[in-house]
Amino acid sequence: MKQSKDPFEAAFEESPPESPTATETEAETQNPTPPPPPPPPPSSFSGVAVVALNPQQPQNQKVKNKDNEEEEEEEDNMDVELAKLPSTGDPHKMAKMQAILSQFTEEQMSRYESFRRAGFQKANMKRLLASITGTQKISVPMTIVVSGIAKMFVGEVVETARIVMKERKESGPIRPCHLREAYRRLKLEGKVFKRSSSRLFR
Amino acid sequence: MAEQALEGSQPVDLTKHPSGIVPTLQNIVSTVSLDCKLELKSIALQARNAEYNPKRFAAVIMRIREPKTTALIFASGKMVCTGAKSEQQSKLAARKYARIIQKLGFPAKFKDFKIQNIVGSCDVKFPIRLEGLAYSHGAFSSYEPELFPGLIYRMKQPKIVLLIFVSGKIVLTGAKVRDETYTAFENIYPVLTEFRKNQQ
Repeated sequence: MKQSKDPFEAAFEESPPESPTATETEAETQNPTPPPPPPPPPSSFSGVAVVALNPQQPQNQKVKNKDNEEEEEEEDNMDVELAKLPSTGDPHKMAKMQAILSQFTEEQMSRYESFRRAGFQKANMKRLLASITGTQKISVPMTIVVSGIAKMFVGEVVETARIVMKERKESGPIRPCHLREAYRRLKLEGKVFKRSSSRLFR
Repeated sequence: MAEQALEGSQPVDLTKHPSGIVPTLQNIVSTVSLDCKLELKSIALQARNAEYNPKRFAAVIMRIREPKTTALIFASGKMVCTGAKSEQQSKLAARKYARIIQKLGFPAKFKDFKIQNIVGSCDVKFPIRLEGLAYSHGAFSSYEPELFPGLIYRMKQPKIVLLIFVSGKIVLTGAKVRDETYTAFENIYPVLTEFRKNQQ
C-alpha cells in the first residue's frame, strides 16, 4: 500500500537552495575557513547610509514653520496604497501553488495560515528602526519592508533549525540549541549581516 | 438559516437573494451641481453647522442631523454628499444642503444629482480560508496579510470591490446602484462557502 507523499514532506526532502547538507557542515567543523568578506556596497548606497546615520543639518534648516511640519507628518503617516499592488504573479507558479494548497490537510493549512499571517508589530519595528538610523522619521512603507526582510530571515533560521533536527534525528518542537546551531550555520554562509561598528558594551 | 433570512426583522425574498443574506447599505456618496459660483467664506461665517479651513481643504464641510450626513461644498458650486444610508436619504440630504445655500442668498439649483458610490456590508457567519481563495481566484484577488488583514477581491461583473475577512465579514464597495451590491454578494457567496473553514 503506497501512500502519496505529503506535499510538506516532499518539499522538506528536496534540500533548499544554498542550505547546508550534513557532509558540508561536518567538513566545516573540521576545517573552519572564514567566509570571504562581503563586497563593498556601491558608492551611492554608502552615501545614503552616511546621510541616514549622520543627520547633521544646518541650524537654519531645522527651523521650519508649523505648516511644513504638519505636511511632513502627513507624508510619514501615508499608508501603502493596496490598489497599486500587483494582483497576479506568475500564472504557472500560481497554478502550482494552488495544486499544493488543495492537497493540504487541516493541520498543514492551519500552519500555512499562521506562517502567512505572522509578522512583526509595526510599532516595535518603527522604534527599532528609529534607534538604528537615529532619526524619528520612519515611514510606513519602510517598516513594512524591513518587517518583511526580518520575517524572511526568521524563516531561514527556522528552516535551518529543522535541517539540524533532521540531521540529529530529533523530533518535536525546535529547541534553543537548534536555533543557535542554525544561526551559526547561517553566519558561516554569510547570511547574517556583520555590524558596521563594534559594540561598546556586551 | 431562518435567523439569517431575517434582515431587520423582515423576511428575505429568496428569488432575489438565494443566499438568504441581504447586504446592509452603510454609506452612499452622491454629487450634485448647484449651478452657481459660491462664496465659501461667507457660507462659513453665516452657517453654524459649517467649517472652512482653506489651508487644509478648499471646501466648506457642512453637516445636518437628519438624514445624518456630511457635505463638501466647493466654490465652483459642486457638492458631494456622504454618510446617507439609502439613495432616497442621500437625495433628501442633498436637497436640504441646497436649500441652506439658497437661504444664504445664493441662486442655488439642484442639477445633475448622481449616486457615485454605494458601500454595503454583511456577515456570512462562518470563517473563511483566505489563502485558498486568494490562490484559486488569483486573477481577481490580492491578499497581503502583513499589509492588510482582508482579501481584496476585484469582481469584473458587476465591477465591485469586496473586502473579505477571515471572520466572515464582507464589505462591498464601488456600486452605483444597490442591485450591483446584491448581485456581487450572490456571485461571491458560493465561493465563500467553498472556502469555508472547518471550526475546531
